[in-house]
Amino acid sequence: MLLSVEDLTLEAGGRRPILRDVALQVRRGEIVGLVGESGSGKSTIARAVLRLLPQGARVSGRVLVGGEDVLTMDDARLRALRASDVSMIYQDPRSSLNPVRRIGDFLTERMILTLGRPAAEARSRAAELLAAVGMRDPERRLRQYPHELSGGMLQRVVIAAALAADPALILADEATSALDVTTQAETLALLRTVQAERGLGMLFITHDLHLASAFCDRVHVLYAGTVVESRPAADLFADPRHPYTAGLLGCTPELGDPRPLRPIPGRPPSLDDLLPGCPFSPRCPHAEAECETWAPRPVAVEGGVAACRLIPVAVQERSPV
Amino acid sequence: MKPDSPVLRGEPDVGDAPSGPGQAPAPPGQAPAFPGRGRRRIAALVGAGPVGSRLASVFLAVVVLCAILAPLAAPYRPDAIDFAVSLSPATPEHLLGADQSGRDLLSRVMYGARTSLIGPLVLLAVASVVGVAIGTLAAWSRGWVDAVLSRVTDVMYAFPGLLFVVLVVAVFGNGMTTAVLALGLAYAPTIAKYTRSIAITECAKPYIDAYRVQGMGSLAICVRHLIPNLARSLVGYLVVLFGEGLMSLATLSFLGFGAQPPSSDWGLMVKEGQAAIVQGAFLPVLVPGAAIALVVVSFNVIGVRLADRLGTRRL
Amino acid sequence: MLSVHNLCKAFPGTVAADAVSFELPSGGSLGLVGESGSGKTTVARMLVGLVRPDSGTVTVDGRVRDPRERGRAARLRRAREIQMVFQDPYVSLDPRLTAAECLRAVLRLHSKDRSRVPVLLDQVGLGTREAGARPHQLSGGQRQRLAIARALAVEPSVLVLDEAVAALDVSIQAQILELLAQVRRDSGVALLFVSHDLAVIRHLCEETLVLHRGRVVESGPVAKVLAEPEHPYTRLLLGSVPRPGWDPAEVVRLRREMEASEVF
Repeated sequence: MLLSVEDLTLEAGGRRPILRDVALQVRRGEIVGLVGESGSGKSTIARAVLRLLPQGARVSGRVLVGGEDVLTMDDARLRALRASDVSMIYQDPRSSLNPVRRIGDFLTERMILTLGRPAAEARSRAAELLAAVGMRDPERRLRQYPHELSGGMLQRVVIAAALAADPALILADEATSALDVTTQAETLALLRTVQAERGLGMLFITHDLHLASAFCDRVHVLYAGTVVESRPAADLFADPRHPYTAGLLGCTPELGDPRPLRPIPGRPPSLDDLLPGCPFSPRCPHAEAECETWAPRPVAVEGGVAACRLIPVAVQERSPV
Repeated sequence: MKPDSPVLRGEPDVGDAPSGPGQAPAPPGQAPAFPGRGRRRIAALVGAGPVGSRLASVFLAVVVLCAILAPLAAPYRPDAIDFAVSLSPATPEHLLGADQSGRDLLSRVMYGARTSLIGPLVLLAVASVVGVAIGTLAAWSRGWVDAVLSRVTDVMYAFPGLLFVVLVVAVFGNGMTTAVLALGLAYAPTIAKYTRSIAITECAKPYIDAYRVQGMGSLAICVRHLIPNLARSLVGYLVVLFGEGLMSLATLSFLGFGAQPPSSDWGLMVKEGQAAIVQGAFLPVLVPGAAIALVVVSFNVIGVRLADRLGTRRL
Repeated sequence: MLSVHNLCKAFPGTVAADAVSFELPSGGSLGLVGESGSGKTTVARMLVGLVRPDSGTVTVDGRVRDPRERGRAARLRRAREIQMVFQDPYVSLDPRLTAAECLRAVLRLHSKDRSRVPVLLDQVGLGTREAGARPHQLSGGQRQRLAIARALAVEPSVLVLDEAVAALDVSIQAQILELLAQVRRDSGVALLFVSHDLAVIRHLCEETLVLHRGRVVESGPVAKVLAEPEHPYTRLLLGSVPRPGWDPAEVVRLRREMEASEVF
């Protein structure tokens, strides 16, 4: 198991924990989706994998990368992990690159400083990487500045940088959300190629359930810091079991024949909303009084788990959708 | 005597002379060894944190109260002469001593707070009206209007403010009113430049576009919506400028271009007190000098605090 | 009825709009689709008069909009013709004004009955609690509702929405889309919806216009354009929408196809 998050609970000031008993696994060669709205804690999970925790956070649970617990490892090991084992790709490529440094400096800096490679070798490796992410004329790109490249090209540079240290795990935090739709598709095609060629594990974080179910092998749906459903992408899309997943699918417009949207009422909870029971119960069309006190726990469903109190009933009598 | 207030900049020998008699280095606890531009460092030393700014606010409130209540609270008339107590040290009758003519320094400093505080206020009012108008106009129109206004303010900005004021005073004669108005004009380019930079950012926000789409006229948008939204940033900036203005006015009075005797303006008091230093009495210079330094530092501390809060707390 | 004829606008280095023409009947709905750099935002801003076109005309109900026509009456009339809702509700509302004050300012400007404030708020699903709140106390969805109410206060013939749901969470986005559909049913305002999201356009609009590098490459009824796309760029856009069984590598092929077609 490449990445294994076990019972991760993270509190930092708010009235409810940012993450509550999160469990997820990423295997080698697998793309795992993490879907949620703003405030669901999806980025916090990715950052926790690198032990980038919010200030004053209280953490419990384990985050195992290659069997080692990130939360308890010593600083030297943590630096090595951040430098080579795990790479993160952020949403906005413009803010991850220093605007006054050339692309080449950006790519080689980490190789020279943290991996201790000679400059010439790092440079030729950087050119190789740019070619690998489908950029023409890599030598010229190395001499360019970030403002000379389009957003899609910059995200390729960021991906190349993420690959520089031969990581085993890639964390893609809304890595394509800031891009145009066509550029997004091309970037995803590239990510998938790179991932398949190198057998990487990838944690793919997005707000777009359609995108996650089209791109990932398995998908975890996150709501208010709780994993509410975790299943193979195709199953999740075809037959959502948690009312929130069903709600997300029901309120996303599709290209096919127009069907009435069924918006989820209310708004995603903030950190100051105290949610003692099922966090989705205030917005859930099927909620019963008991749901407000029922602490969510995973219930086995076809292909995975869903955290809904009504599921055993639903299996026999009605679909929770 | 320490050169704790740049009012003394013109006369370094005065500052060196009487390191002699009694009393620990006077004003607040901070090192007073920064002339001129070091005022911001002084503020940094006091600390712009909540404690520092609270102390500063309390102190300023006391100073303002003293100024308002001077006729009631001051023990003597500011111009009451009593040669019997000439150059008196601090005594129960004269808490802060007396000057060469035996005028009570506490009373004079309290009355002096009036001119010394109202002066910068009027100065900033003049400077803000002119500066904000120019800055907003430049930011709103852009294009050639902006280019012309910016070059003009740049030229005015580059021209030494004090020299400009001295020229104006030379033409229109001495006096507090002339000095305040002239300094107001000298400060306008600074405010214009600042206003322009924040107004350009603000104009780029879509809510300004929304007002235009609603059919609101440019003047109405600027006056009713743009400038009020700049106010938060502007006030923080003006608070710091207030300290600088007070200092500049004191300097002018010290040089004889501002307040005229028998007024009890602080800058003028320092000037009049100089002679006493030679006679070994430092209170006539120290009292108004400390008043200037403390008030300026307080304004800086509060200004820095306001700027910090603006920086961290976004609406 | 909105009629746009041959709008052109060039910025240094790029052509943002190249002979863009279209018509939007009263009460109709038109989706303007394009990616960044397609010129869709420039077209929207030219419609409302925030950007002055190099050439071309915008006509509303038979009257040509002329930005050079000055004076209060002309300004207010133009405002009643077309209103706009901006993309990011975090910066498109005056931070100083409460929701009610924001609406009152518009109503006063247009000499309308100020007692309509609660009606307008209710129309977009905001209550008395939100009426007294400043923008920073409102959520993203509530802010966008307020922005819509502010535009509707003028009672415009056409409402231009520039990526109006792009900055919102998925579940909130659906609420706003429903609201817009309902507003259109109730008030008969024509909607011009500018977006990069074909699915959203499919849901909300009857007609669509695909923009690519400032030019209209395809237009027609949404269902038809999406079912039988004729232009390679439309096919590329459609192919880029994630769906079950989607292969992003297919998009790379479509891009090559489009580039090939541009050569000839």
